[in-house]
Amino acid sequence: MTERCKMDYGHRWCLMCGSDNPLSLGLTFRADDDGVVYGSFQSHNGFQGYDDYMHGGVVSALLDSVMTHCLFHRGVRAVTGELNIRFKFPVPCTAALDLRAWVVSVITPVYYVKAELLYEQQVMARAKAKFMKIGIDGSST
Amino acid sequence: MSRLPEDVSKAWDNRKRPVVFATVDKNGVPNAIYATCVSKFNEETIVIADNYCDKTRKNSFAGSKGSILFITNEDKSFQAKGTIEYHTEGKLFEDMKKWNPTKHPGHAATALKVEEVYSGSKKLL
Repeated sequence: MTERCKMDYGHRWCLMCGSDNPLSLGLTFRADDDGVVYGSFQSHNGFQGYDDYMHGGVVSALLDSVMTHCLFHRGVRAVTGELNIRFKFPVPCTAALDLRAWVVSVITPVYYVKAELLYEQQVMARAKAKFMKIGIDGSST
Repeated sequence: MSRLPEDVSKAWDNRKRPVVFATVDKNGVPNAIYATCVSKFNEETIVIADNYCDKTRKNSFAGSKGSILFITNEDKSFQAKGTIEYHTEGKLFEDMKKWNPTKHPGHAATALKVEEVYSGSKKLL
């Protein structure tokens, strides 16, 4: 199943996945039967930090996005409360990257999620994060 | 943290199978299932293995509270109510994997954190 951002989640103008934002990276995600959410991203030179390597902030944003969509897949609208990233290897700035995320624990309203960014099937960065569930108006629930 | 009263904990060990586990969706619609793959993790926590759950899983993600109803071999019924946690890693999950039959997938450990306990209409906790 491929899941494009849904208007219900208030992400139409998201920089990473928004369908209405012309500057969006246009990320799309799909999920397997176990609720693991997958995405891919073709990077380019415009995302460099150090020469030839992807900026760490972009890596972080990609991981945050796949985790956010992992919760969308579960019907949960939540914001990042804490994000911890282990940058294992520098990511080539023109790489075709894969993303995956899964929910580790739910102790509502807090959701614990993990994610990985892969290049040629090697994990380049790992993330774990806490998300806080929010209501339609953005308030905590 | 609330704990199961001692007599209720003993009653749990002497229960008939299966137990009934109830949740509710975000619109207040209840969902009850028979659960056979269950275990008391400690006096504060009862774990239900998520083997083939659908609505129960969705309700757990949505923040439902839960209720476990069980009856003893002497036909005395008890109900524990509380908040629900959902774990696919960690000690509750690993413990579930030890007792959940390997023929079942054991996707996750759904944990009821005990807050209230009843026997019939009588509130015990």
